[in-house]
Amino acid sequence: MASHPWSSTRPDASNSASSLSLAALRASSAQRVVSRREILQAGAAGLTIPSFLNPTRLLANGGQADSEINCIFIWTQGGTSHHDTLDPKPLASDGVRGPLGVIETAVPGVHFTELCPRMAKELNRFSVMRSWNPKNAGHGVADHWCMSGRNVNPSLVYPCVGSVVSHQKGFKSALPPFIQLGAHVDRSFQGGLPGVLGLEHAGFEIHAEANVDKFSVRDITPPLNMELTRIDRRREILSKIDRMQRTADLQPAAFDALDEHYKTAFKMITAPETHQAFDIASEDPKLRDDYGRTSFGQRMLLARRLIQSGVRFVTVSDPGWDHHQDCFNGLKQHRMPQVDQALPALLIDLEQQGLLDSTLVVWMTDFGRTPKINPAIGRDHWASAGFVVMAGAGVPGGLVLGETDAEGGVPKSNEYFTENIVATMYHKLGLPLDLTVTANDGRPIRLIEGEPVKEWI
Amino acid sequence: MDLKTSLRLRLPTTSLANSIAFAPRIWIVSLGCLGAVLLCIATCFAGELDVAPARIVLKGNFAQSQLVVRELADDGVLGDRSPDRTSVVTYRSESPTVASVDSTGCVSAVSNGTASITIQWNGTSKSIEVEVQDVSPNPTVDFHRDILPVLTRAGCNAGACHASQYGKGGFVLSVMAFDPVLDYQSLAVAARGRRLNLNNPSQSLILQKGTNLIPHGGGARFAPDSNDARILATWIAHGAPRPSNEPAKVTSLAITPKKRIAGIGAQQQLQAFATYADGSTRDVTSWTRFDAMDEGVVKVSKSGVATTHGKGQGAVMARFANHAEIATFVVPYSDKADLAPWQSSNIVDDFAKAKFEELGLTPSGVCDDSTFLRRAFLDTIGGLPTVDESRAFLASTDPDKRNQLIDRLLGLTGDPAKDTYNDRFAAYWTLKWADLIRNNSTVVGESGMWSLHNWLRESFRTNKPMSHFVSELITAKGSIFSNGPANYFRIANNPSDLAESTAQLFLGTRLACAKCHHHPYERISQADYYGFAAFFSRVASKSSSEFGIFGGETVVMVTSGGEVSHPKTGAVMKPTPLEGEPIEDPNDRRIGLANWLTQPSNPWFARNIVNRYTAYLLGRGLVEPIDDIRSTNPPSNPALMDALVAEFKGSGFNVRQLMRTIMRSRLYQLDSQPNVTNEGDERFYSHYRVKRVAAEALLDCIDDATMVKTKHPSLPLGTRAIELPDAAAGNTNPFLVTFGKPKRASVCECERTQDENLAQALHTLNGDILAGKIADGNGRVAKLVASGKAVDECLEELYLATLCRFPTTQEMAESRQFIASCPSPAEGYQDLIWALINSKQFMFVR
Repeated sequence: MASHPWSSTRPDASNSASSLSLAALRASSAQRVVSRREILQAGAAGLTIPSFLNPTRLLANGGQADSEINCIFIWTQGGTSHHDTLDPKPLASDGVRGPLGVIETAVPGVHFTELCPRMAKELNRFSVMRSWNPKNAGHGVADHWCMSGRNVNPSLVYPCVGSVVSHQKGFKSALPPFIQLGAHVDRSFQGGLPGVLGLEHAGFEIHAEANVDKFSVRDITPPLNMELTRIDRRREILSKIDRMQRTADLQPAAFDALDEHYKTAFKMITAPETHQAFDIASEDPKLRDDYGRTSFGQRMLLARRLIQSGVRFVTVSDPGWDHHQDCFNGLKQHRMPQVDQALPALLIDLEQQGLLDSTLVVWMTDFGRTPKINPAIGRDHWASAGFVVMAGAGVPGGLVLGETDAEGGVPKSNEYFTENIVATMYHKLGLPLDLTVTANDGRPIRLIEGEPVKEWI
Repeated sequence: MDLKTSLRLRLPTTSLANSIAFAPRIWIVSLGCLGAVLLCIATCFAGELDVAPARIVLKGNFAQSQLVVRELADDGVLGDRSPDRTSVVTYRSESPTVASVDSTGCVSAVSNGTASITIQWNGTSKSIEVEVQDVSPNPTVDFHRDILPVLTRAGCNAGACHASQYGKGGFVLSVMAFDPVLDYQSLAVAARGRRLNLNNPSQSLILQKGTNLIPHGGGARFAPDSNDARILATWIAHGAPRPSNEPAKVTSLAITPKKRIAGIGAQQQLQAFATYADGSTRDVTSWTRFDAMDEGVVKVSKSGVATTHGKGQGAVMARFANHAEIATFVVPYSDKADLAPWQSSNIVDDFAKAKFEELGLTPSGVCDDSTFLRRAFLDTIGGLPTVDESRAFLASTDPDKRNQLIDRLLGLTGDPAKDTYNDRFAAYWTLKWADLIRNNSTVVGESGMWSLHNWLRESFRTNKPMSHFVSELITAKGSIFSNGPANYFRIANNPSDLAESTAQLFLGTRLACAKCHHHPYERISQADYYGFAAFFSRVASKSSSEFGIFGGETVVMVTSGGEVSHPKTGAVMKPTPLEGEPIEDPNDRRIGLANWLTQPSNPWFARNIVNRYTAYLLGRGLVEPIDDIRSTNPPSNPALMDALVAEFKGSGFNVRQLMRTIMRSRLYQLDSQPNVTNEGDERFYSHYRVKRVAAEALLDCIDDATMVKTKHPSLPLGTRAIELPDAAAGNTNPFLVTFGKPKRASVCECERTQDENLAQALHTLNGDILAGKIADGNGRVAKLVASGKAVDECLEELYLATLCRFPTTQEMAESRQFIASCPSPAEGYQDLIWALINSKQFMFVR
């Protein structure tokens, strides 16, 4: 049901008039007492407490709430050309092969293009699927499909995996469970959104540039260099004012919702793990160098820090891969070097930190690109083939799965579809494959269909 | 039920009594039974039954009639509260070879003749007569009249089953039988007629599967010995005759009872009657689909027995032959509402009070002056009063000050010197309608956007009647630069989109479903959709070079040709308004539409506008969703809706007058603090519904409170956020983005998301925009500090500037203490104003 434009009809849980003292908030996460009023409110009108605030509902949904595998999801927006990266066709004709040379990789018989030297060397740390059939060549649709496992449906918006994780598992620390780095996700077809799960499970977006000495995040890093003591003081007076404004124990449900958000917000602003996560400057400069002093590289580093601070799902988005023109130069000079540098760096770093087994790393893109090079020295959208990279969380390293035909146009073996990729993610992250949620109008919605990629399980 | 059709029995059953009951009352007296009758009146009404219908005529072998038996009240009157006894009385047919009756009160034809049905309960017994006609050894079964309703009732053609896109098991039906041609094909012809066995009807797949004698994914939809199975079998036995080319058309559907008031756990059998084009009426309860629209309040069984479940007001929808009607169930919140303090100011209050009484819902009290002040300002002009204005209003002792404020804000005082808010009023409502019409420079260009914006602004500044507004808009043509409303035909530029937008905005109805099939919840058919779209089939645009070849100017024009065809039949559609007759305007089809929309008898337009404005002011439309008005989605208070519609039409579609009526009511001025009894009410306005201050208005309020204006790109400083003409800022201004300024991609009201979310909380708690304004060297706090005013004076000003009221004694004491505890008064005031802005009394209209 559409909510009225200038009303707030949020039927959310109340909070018992808890003290907003700093100590209470700094205590570690999420164990909260469900008040009697919440139960009454939830029951009486068939309304539900937002799941991220109610631990008991998580288990009722059937998710393996104890599976603690996190995810870093890399999204190169635009459609990374597979011919010119991980699936070269050196024996094809001029009009298909392209000018880039090929190099050997750590796996005998497998070649990448010259744009991926580090990835070639570190191939034993990740797996490449060359036989992905995107079945789609539209931007926007791709963002929706690849992130949710479902094609675009006019009557409902399927949630992306990050939102599902937020919905099923909730907060682990003061930081939101699902964060998106960069704004490079196409929303035209509701891609990368929580859809039927509700706005509260949207990814928290951080657009700030990470390749800086001192990293700050709008609205989280205190403004005007305000000290925490002042923030604490402000919070005290706000809580007093709120208490004095409150004329009775009962208040409109919308006020309760705001209370909850303020609580979560304060927790985020003041929690040490927030500042820890964003304090990139404290990282060893050599490590920062290893990731590459680029926007993308430092975002990858930030992603690792966020995972360590309790974030469950981080999307690292990167723009500018839609190479209809000047494809080879564009990839070589402007895009591929940072990915080639940073992705292996992340995998090495995760391993060294002991996080690789509990972190699923996925690299996806809209689709592959045309075998035939176009007159603008580029490649266009290609719906029939592309690549997907997965690593960590038990995905076998060094596995090159499937192959395309001689022109790189059609998968020849082990063909897999987008729903299989997302089903694999669900499996790894402990989400039931038949997970069904209830939409606003009461319909049961099964989120994904399809089997995981068996070679990656 | 009126006297003619129901029988009130006050004496033991005898034929004498029957004739007495049918006679006028004076004859009862004159027959000398006065004494006995009077005795009975005194003692016998309670517990007496009303049986409907009083007399049944069943025509045809398969005819059925559903009885409804209700218990009368002490005064012998059948009312909305009369309990239903249909399922507890016992039924007996005195001539079971003529007509039979089952335990639920369903009477079936057996053979021609008359029969008497005895109903017994609690020591009393009644009798009604049944006449059975037209039963024949060789009955005719009509495809439209008999077969399609069977399939619909059994659920075969539900969207989830055989009416899904590819059907099930290869068997495809049209949803709710809107396409009989297709249905006949599928049933009798397709797949070499495998679904029917003409030689051995009971072996037909349709029957074997439908009864689950052969495993059926849908289970058993009817029993093998049921009436419905017999209907199908008979039709098959006759060779499955084709549907007639001129089927008997159902002209209306009626449900009884239309309304029932009861406690939780009450039952009510419903009846459905279909009237045909030939004037005949028959009971179709056995073939009607019943669905609960508000399962939290009332549920309904397949056979039309409704059971109340929870407090409130809910509807049961009955569907038959592409008609849909509702029955309303009211389950009062309490036995008696406390309405002693209620004083009605106008018609809104009269009808609201009646509803509260019916619902047993006790409304909250009236809000105080400062709450009213802030609420009225925000709801009418999307801004706050100045500190001086607040002081003046709060200090005034004029008992009529609220009404005067309303008139000043709405520009209705009649004195130009007092109507000082006209421009801001116009700006705010321009913003609202620009969102709905989707004015966007990325679609119509900068100049087109300004042109449309200026026209909107002028319309609201001059209080143009809505009838003129909509007429000018939907008949606009010419240059999109010089004629603002012409942009409407660039924003949506094909008949389908124009039909859907126009219907949603101005009729308040969502046509989109009907584009591909019959609307599942109401009468609108595909033909209706395309007939409506035909109004827009003769509009085209072409680019003009008036401003250079890249000037971007487009001219909207009327063409002499251009048609819309029905996608299935290919028939050319004449422009036809919903539920109306085709209209042909020789010059411009849209003129015909505009005239239809604005004529006094039109049931859609005024209702839609009234509904929207009740939503904008009261926080929720009488119909919700606001743009989903249909017969099966009734207003929460139909009488109030009708009264406001009548007044709105009578005033010449004057929106300011409508707002005035609503705002002057006690209902509008109720406090938002719920009481224990009305806390659960979200629909009946028993307390004011708080709403978030809209993004643009919120930014303006913050600017005013901090005295630091936001400089909007390409606009002079001092332009308010509510005056922003374009959608672009919904993508670029971080505050507006965070607080959900619409991007104007959709006509739906729901585009402006009003859910509070974490990002908003972080933005005001911790964002640099707000922090910067508070700390600004020329802002309010800096000025207060520089002025050297006393602490108390400063505190007062901060409260007045943000919350439009004086601090309470307690607030004053706490605030003084707080300021004293801060390193400096400047820091203290900054922190205090920050807290006030983040408090709920600031963030919400309450």
